[in-house]
Amino acid sequence: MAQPISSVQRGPATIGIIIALFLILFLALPVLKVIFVAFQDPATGEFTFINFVDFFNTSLFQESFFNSFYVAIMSVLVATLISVPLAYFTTRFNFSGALIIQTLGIIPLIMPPFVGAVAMQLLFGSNGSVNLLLDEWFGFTIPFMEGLNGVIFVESIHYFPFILINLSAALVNIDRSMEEAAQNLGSSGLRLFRRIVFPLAMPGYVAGAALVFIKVFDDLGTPLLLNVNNMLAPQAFLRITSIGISDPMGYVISVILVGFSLLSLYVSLLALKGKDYATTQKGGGGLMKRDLRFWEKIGCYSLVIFILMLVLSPHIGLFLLSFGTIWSYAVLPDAYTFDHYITVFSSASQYITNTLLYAGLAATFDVILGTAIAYVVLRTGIRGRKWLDYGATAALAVPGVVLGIGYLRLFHSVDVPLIDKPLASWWVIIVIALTIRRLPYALRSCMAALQQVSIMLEEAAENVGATKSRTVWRIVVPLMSGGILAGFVTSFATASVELSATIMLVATESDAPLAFGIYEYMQSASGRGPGAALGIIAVLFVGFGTYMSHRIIERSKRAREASVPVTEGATP
Amino acid sequence: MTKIETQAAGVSIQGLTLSFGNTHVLKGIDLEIKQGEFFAFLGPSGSGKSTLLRAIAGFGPTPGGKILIGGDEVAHLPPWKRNVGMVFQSYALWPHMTVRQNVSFGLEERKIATPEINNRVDAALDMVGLLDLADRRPSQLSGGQQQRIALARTIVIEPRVLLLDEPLSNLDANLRVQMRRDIRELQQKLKLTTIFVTHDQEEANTISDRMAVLDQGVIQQIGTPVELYDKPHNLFVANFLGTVNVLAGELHETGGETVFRTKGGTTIPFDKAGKDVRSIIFRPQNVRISDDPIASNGNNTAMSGRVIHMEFLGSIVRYAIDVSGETILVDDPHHKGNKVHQVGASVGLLVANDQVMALGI
Repeated sequence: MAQPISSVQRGPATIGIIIALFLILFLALPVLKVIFVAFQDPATGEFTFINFVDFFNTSLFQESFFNSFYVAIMSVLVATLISVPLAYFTTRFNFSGALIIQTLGIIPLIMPPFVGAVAMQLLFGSNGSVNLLLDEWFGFTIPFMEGLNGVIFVESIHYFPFILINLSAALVNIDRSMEEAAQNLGSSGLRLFRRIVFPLAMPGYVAGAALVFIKVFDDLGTPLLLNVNNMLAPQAFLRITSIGISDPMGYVISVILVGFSLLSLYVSLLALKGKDYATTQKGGGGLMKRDLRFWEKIGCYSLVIFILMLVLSPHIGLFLLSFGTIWSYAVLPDAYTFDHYITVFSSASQYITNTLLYAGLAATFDVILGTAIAYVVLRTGIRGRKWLDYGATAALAVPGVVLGIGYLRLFHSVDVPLIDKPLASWWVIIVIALTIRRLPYALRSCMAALQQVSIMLEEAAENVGATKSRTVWRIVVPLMSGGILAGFVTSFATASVELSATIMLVATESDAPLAFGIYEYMQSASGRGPGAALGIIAVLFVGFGTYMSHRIIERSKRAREASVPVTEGATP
Repeated sequence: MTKIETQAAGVSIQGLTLSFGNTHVLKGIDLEIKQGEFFAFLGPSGSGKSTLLRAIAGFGPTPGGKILIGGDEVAHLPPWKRNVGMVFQSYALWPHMTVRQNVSFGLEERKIATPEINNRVDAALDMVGLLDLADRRPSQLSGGQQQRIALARTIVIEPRVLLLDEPLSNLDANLRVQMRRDIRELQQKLKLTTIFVTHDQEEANTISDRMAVLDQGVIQQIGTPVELYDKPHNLFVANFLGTVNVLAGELHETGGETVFRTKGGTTIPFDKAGKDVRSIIFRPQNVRISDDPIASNGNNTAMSGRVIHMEFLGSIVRYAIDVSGETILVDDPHHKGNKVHQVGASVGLLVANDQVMALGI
């Protein structure tokens, strides 16, 4: 009786199994391999804790561990200091600078931190523009970029939006009546803030802070470019690339990185779980706002503009660097030129074409996988389907360095037929790494898109004679197209500047993408100009991509609002 | 012009059961729907009526039992092989397609030649009177127009059965009455076997030839609207199809005559073959009300009581009367100049004996 109906699920089930195999092969196995090797005696291959003991007995690793932890915590603190006043202004006051603050929340995200790192050194380093001016005018300098300070400075400027966005959202979602109820019962001022506003906003803050922590903790590019090597991710990278893939320390560090990633994901989940504090009811939303007095307004604007300058400084610095001839011991470059761009386009265009190819392929695979997983999870009753979602999302907890090391270890002995090369050094492995790394984001986008499609629209198609696959093709995919496209663009934009996994997997210069090119150029003083020019190109990629995906999402949101009666899905 | 010609088929449902996990939603449904009949599933929400409709269309978990359409067993067929047209509660028009594309979709899936598709789509749109809106998008249409397009999209495939899932619930009151008539007219014209799901007894009464009242996954009674109203098999059906007075009590023999004595002590002569009668029911419009107590006669039973509640509804005045501890509802037709009895007033009631029905529960 049930047999013929279940034959309908044979297709999705097959697809689900193929995806599961892909995830196991390119996500689960590499990570498990890394963990396995970390607990393996390098000589005998037996299970052991000796690698961890060695790790914690080596002073360099102790220092690296402490430094990574310190940098991550300090970056969270600095990012908090930047975010809290901004979030507070927009939610508490009728502040006309809200648009600036919104922009502030996006600008840093369109440039990965390592791209701006060198430019920041030229602006804020001990011989950078700011310190030269300070020294000339006031006779002192500030060590913004000395050692770990530099990493903290660059990372917090780049990652504070995660806190700002989450905190603002949490504050906006607090209904005015929450505050009014407290006032009605006799609470006011700081007490009201401490007992009502703060606890209600806390989950959003913690979720954002956990994200910043892990982004900084895992980041490889920024410390490398700032030449700060005594941190965990750079150590893992250096051990594997200089000593070789048999050195156990890289694996031990990977296990620590994965452990902390899982921990902070768990913390942010815990913070948000069961605390859906979206208390907004119909009518009034957000906290009580009041107008600013004149002097307060000046204070607010000064602070916002100061932060804006800070946030824009990597972009400005990079821009100047890409057009400057020589910029050393000077406030600004000596002269300006187009040479770096000409250099880049004449001799380094393969970086750009490679990036277009890799990021394009990865983003395409991501949306195909995302759509398929979303369909299997949301529209079929296949047993264990949720694990596809969990599996794909688990990539969030795997730092790029770890994935890179895992691929090297697992696939260096797997020869690809026909081209006679190990899989680990074939360019396709870079595409696969990018696909896995960006899949969680594309998947969320596709899931959200499919959730917006009422099941009734599919049933209506089946009812008038369309099979499941025809329904997917003619109804589901067209209706999801906005979300799929947004997912594609986001994946593409972020994949085009990904460094941490790529840097380990690039086998030859001719296979290298943009991010790797920037890293290579930035190594030498003479390469900084072209490196910056590449950086600007990368920023344009990501900026354009972000803008497009924003537009697409807005447009499909509007289209949905225009067709309310069709999409209100009363599922029986 | 091409005409829409459906080949209507009867529907036979035998021992149908269906569960969502451990929740048994349909518990053994047996039902015969004749070819060309307009049949309603009436019941409160959660009664299983929509689930039953969806099972006929092939949606939801695989049911146990049989569903025969025109004699063919379809319970094992996927939805797209059943050729039963369904109109969804919220219409489910595809927002990315124009009206014409929406209507032609099913024909395209049947690989029908383009000229014929165009002719049949025109015919279907013409039938619902919206041919001139063919190039619009669903979002540009009003609720009533969307409803008609959903109908056109369904009848264009010439289904063997038309299924309507609360099709009027998203329309405003005036439009609802109009659509109700239009749907009935369309059904008559096409001689289409139609199943209509609703929770509104007025809708079911006015539109259907016969109906089934469902509650808790079980068919309570099947019949024409008049049969169900006048001869409900149980309290649920009696209550669901209109306001009713229910008096619990038991039969008594007094001096060779059988009377029904209510818990409050009122006795009503009872000449029907008394089996196991536990309560009697009668509709509020079958009670007459007057200022003074009226005497019982052979055909009517008198009671007296006090007005505890009064609602003036325009065409009638509805009273709640306390008769020795039991509340009896009375609908008194209102004419200009009629006396309205105020709360607290003593009144006499007269119940027509032949309007009293007996129930075993």
